[in-house]
Amino acid sequence: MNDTKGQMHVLEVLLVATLFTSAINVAVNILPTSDANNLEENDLYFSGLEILEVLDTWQPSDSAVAAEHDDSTLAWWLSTDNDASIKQYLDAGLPSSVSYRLEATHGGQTEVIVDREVPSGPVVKAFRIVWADDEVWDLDLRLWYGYREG
Amino acid sequence: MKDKAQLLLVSGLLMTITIIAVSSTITHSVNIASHQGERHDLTPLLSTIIDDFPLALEYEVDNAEAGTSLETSFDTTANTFESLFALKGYSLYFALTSASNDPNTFVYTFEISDGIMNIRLDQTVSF
Repeated sequence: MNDTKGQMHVLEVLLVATLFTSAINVAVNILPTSDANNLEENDLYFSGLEILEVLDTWQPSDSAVAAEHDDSTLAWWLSTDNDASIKQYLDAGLPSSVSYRLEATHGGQTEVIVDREVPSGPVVKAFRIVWADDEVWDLDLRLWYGYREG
Repeated sequence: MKDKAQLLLVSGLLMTITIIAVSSTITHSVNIASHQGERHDLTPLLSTIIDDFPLALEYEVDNAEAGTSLETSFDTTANTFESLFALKGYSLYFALTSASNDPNTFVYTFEISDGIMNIRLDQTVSF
């Protein structure tokens, strides 16, 4: 009698343990994980990296200019302070729902290339390290979803 | 009394195993979920290292003080790039294999990592 009771007790414990494990597994599979990271911000970050990369590797059509600026339109525009062209390129290349601010640090000083006020909400920081005008330029591109002023 | 103690012991062991199994499952799922949908792509950064690093290195060699070794110029340029990438959250490491002059030739390896994926490339530049 006691033997049967003991076996039943073991089975009960096993059953409870199995049910508990199953319930936790189901819960883990069902619970949302979207807050683990922000895919939109991840996409925005890579948009920033890639749009600067394309401009950096875009060879100027004028061969003399290309030779002088190491085949990089970005290096050419940076070294000639052509901020208007950089702004025009980024305005056209980024989705209209995305706004941005671009700063460049070189030779120990930071200059604003495209000046837009950074909002208090989520902002992504992309970057590009460029060799231009005999200096390393550290480009800091901040991007966010929102209205793009002027 | 002895039977009761044995039953208690077996039950305790089963519960312990169950708890370990459940904790491992949760930990594993959380680890997977925390990287779910993330894009890990180092290619936008490779062009900077492959194209711009040699330009910076050439400038450093050309403008180094007389008597500065090629190895020192390489280290200076590598440190600049490594520091900049570290500030952006990427681990970048340059290792010089050999350096020779006439013409200046550098054989080196660089490795970049975002903490999840690594890329290691061998490079040779001459100028």
